[in-house]
Amino acid sequence: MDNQYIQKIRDGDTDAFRYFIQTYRDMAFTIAMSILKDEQTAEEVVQDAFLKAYNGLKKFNKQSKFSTWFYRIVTNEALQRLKKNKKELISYVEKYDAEPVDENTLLQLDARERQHLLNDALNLLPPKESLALRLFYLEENSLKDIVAITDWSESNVKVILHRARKNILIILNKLMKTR
Amino acid sequence: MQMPNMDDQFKQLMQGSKLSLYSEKLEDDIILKIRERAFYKKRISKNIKVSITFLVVTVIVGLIISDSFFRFTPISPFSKYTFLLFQILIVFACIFLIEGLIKLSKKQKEPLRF
Repeated sequence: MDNQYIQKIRDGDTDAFRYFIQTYRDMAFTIAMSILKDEQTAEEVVQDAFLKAYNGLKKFNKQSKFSTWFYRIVTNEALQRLKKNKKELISYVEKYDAEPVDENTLLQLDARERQHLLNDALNLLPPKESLALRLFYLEENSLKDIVAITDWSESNVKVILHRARKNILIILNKLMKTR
Repeated sequence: MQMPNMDDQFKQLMQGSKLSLYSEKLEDDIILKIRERAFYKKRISKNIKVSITFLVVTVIVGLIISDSFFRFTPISPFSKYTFLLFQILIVFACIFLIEGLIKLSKKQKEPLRF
């Protein structure tokens, strides 16, 4: 499907790009939010990433997945913006004595409440960890895809994922206790 | 990696972490920007073509006048200075046009941004 629309755009049909905006806008925003933790900046990054993708579409190799290629653009744009803004993010620092929450307890919560809690916890995680969790579990990307999107090594992805899983359960436990 | 069961639970848990971008005008803004850029690029291409034409015309006219100058003008110190001045003018015109062309090409390659 993606390739059909890429061909349409290459043939000069600008409106065909709407398909990509509609399909990937939410995930692009989710990736940008994982890194930037700020809605307005994340929205700007998404817009810039789409324009960059449109510009680079002629060079895009159809053999690879559009989503991987596009998420890499979003990630790079977000990281560049983070560097430019030099914003100090207050992220969670791992404490080994902290207790993780039981996943079953979480799954028993009301879906909306769980969603709020989870997104609050992801906002407190360091950018790399929340990005890795969302790419692996939400978008169900393979480790190879994550390597292609983030440019981290495969072993690094595994380490970040392990740390992220542990940290998010600890944060969720803390958040549940304070509510 | 963790046990498959734990991974499944995590997957289930993470399903609620997708965020929605509610901006209504995002799609139209991007398409508008793309169209504006296409129009801008077309205009730059036209300007580049005009600049190239002027450059070619300047060079040809310069060569023709330089070649025919001494054929029809009697050689004198005054005519030599006039000829030199004319050649300097042609060189400056060419430099000016080439500089314009370089600037236009750079503008054409500028990435699309909001």
